[in-house]
Amino acid sequence: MENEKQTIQRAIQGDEAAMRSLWSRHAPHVDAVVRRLVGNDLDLAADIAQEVWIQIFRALPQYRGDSQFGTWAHRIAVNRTLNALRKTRRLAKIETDVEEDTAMVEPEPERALVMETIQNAATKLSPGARAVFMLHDVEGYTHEEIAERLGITSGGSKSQLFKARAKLRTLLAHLVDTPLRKDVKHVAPVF
Amino acid sequence: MSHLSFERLAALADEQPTSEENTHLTQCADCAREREAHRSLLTMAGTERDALGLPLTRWDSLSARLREEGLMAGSGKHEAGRGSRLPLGASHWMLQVAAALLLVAGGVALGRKSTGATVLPGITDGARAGQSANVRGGAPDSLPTTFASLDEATRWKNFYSEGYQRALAFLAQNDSAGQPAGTPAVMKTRLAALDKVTKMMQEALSDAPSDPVINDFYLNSFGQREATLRQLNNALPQNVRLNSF
Repeated sequence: MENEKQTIQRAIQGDEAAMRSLWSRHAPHVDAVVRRLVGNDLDLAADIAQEVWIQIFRALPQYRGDSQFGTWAHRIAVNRTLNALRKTRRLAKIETDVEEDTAMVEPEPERALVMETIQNAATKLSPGARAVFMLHDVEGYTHEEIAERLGITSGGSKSQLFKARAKLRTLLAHLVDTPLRKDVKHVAPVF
Repeated sequence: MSHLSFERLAALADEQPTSEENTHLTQCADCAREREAHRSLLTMAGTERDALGLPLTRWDSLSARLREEGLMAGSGKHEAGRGSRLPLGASHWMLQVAAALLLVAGGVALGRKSTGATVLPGITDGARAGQSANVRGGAPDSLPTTFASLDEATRWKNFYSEGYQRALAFLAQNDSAGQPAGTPAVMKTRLAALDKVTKMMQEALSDAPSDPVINDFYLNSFGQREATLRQLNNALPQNVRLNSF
């Protein structure tokens, strides 16, 4: 049975079966990355996912095999998606975006049941906050890496992450906690 | 110490508390519970990485783009030396040429037949015997069960393909099953149907650009369409000509 290295070599030559094989194996993960970063705009996500794959095959001759193909493709997916989001200006005002969007969250108990997954809940974050949260808590990027990719400081990345977590914690309260005591006042109450 | 801020509790999902914060967490059930909620959230986020959803990409549209970009064989960049493929999009003219050649070959074959010569130049004796068997109405009894070479197999395939096309043309001209034979209305109906078939075959060719059967079907339907268009032009008044339908 052909290994992935051989498949990649054939794909570099433009062999359709090899290219399709790589796509079949890795598209679910690439698509998932794109969808997480883009949010609930599926049309945009589909456009970006296609561009990601074009870029993967364009860059394939430069793939040295230092990392797993999936890891390499994943990195391209993240970078390409962030670039695309930046082009659509969805990440243009990332700092103010988060400040405005995550400071206060109105409890929506009737909607909480619908928002069963982190991915669904994350669509309620601003694009910038979602990107930081997804990159750090889901994809495992460091704040320094996020800062570099998003053009912000690592401190800014941290700040946005904590605000994003705080909002998600509220949105996903039905999944992660026991209710807060109403008589307890925190220093910086969110509710 | 006051309660920890919500954002600080969010940070403590994966950061270590200071000694002061730690003391508070051991004494404050609410803050401890909040920290646990954030830790749970972080764990959930970690598992989210493996969560998959409906696919965003489709191979047919992606492969079409890859061909356009010259990244996939079958497009201009990779075509040299990879002759087994008959691409569609970028090489539509090739198909037209192929279809035209098919028609010309059919015409030449008809002409040769009318003069008593063999239909295909260079065809084997067996093929001639097969043809005469066909003319007699029986099955060709000399078609070899195996072929000595790709060339021989290709000649036989072309021989029967052309025969099939001529037979179809003859039937279309003479057996209209009760409809007026060769009227423009019949031909237009056929053209419309052939347009649908050709379109379907184009889509099939996008999925399987190298498949010889699909390529043959496409060429046949394309050739039939051109032949019908030509018949229609012959049937129309002399001052009316159709170049497309």
